[in-house]
Amino acid sequence: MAILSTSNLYEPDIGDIFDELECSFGEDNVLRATGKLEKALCEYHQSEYCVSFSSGFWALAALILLKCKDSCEEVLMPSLTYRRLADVAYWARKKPVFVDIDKDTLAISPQAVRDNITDKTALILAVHPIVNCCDVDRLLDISAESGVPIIIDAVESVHETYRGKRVGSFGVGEAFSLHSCKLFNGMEGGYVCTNDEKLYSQLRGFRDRSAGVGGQGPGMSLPLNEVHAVFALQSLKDVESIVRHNEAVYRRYQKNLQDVRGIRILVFDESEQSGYKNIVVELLDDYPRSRDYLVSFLNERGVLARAYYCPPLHTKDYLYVVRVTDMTNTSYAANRYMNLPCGYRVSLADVDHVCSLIMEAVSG
Amino acid sequence: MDNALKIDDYKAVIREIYRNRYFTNHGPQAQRLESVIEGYCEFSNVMTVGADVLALLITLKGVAGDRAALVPDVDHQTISDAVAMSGIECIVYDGALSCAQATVDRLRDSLSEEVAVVLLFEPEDHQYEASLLDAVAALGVDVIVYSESVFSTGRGNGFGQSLTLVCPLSKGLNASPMLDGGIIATNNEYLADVFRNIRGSYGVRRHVDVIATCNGRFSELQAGLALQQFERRFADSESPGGISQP
Repeated sequence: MAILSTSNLYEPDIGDIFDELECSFGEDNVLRATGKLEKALCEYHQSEYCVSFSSGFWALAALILLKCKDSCEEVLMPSLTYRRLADVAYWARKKPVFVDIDKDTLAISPQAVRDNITDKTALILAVHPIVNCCDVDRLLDISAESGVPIIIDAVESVHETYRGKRVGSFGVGEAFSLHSCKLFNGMEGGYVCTNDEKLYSQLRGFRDRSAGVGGQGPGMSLPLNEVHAVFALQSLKDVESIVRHNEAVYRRYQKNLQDVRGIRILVFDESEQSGYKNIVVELLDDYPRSRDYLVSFLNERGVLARAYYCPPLHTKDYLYVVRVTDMTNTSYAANRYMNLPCGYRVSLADVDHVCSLIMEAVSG
Repeated sequence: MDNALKIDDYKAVIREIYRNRYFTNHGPQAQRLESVIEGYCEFSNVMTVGADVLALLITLKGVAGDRAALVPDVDHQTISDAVAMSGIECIVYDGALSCAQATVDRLRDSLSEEVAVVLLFEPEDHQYEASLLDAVAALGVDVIVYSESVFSTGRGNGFGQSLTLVCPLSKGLNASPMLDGGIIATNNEYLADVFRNIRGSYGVRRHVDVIATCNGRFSELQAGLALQQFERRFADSESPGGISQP
């Protein structure tokens, strides 16, 4: 059996890729697909503007740099999240400040954000967790009340809606990834959606560097590779079939694990649109093994389950300064959750196999 | 030589990716690309990076750390941007090309205790002699050569432990500007590990603590296109390292 991973790794049909490639070659025999992709993403996310980048990491770094409040240095962010998120803030010359999550949603806690805003706070970096979304409304309210700008790392919620509104349409600056492990397989890449025309211009200025020294503001030439854009365009066309597959995998996990004592699958909010990409389970107090034991057990048998965002960012050592606030919920959650295999290469039979191993781990 | 990337070029690379079923980073094509450039240029370590400006950023940060850098006052966007993004304190020197001794003298005059690294710029039609690079390194600093000249066989032989080469792939391979990405080349094993760790987790051979990672990931698509261009550009050249033919 092939190794099962937690990455999406969707493979568009190669014939479709070639068709898209041919459509994207101009009469001058130059490949141009990024402009087309940006327009398509605007439509998909219901956003006014979209700026693509060579990676989601640098899309987010550009957004942080450009949106931070002048002469403030701290960026509030969660700790139970993407392992390089603090580094993104570092390159934007800001100090990461880790704030707690909400215990039920695993998303950045609006209360924790509110409690930790100071006169040094430059930005709220809200992050959608990998199942469902953060509380966007409350976070936007806090941003408006405090005058601290907000952006959203929406990498894991590209197909989601929040209270019926498409992720990517909130206007404040939302960053996405086109890496092959994400819902859209562009091989590599990222983009920002915004409704702010000034921010749009600034993002273009960051990315599109012309000859000449200085006087242009911060930036680096990091355009999205045109062939990556071709892949992303095709993934965009295939999104409904990708999501249908993901949903089938999710439902199978739900069915198989519903009667397994001590394990709770995180459920997608059925009142919202979802990509169903990630499968996350919580090991409850009555589960007889530790999370780490179960992860190892599965890994040894070719199932690349992963500890959920482990280790939390606030527990890592840094060679730059970070600040850690109250982490009660984060610490509680840190050892309880794990990701199970999902995505294009996982079949329903694979799901059955994974679940039987989970039960074997307890009985063995 | 017509170096435009044609649709059949892209299709060939995409077919190879589907054959390998490797869609993430630092896969078989990226590894092969690094290996063939190592062999041709005779460097012990070549690292591919998703953008040449990131390659220079990684190198600056990896070598200079918290210390300062001497940078040339050339009108060059990539150099300006990488230097600015690095946050390193920079002291500018007159980067106009002149004879070797004048260059070394000029640099010596600009050095201070804070300076950890000197950045030299090679435009397309120029390569510094190994003796000059050694003379600069003998000033007690690390040297980064940001080069837009075409890769030359055996160049790595002239690079001592304190010398690092950074090069945009489109220039090194004399290829279309549509070919993005860059390389970092060094014979210093420790620095190679530092650069790989700053680049990101893909392709790391040994973990070393670095100030931060920067997601310089290089895709199989980029690698496949670069390999194609390498084989076209250098396939007929003699290579002491023995380039494998397609």
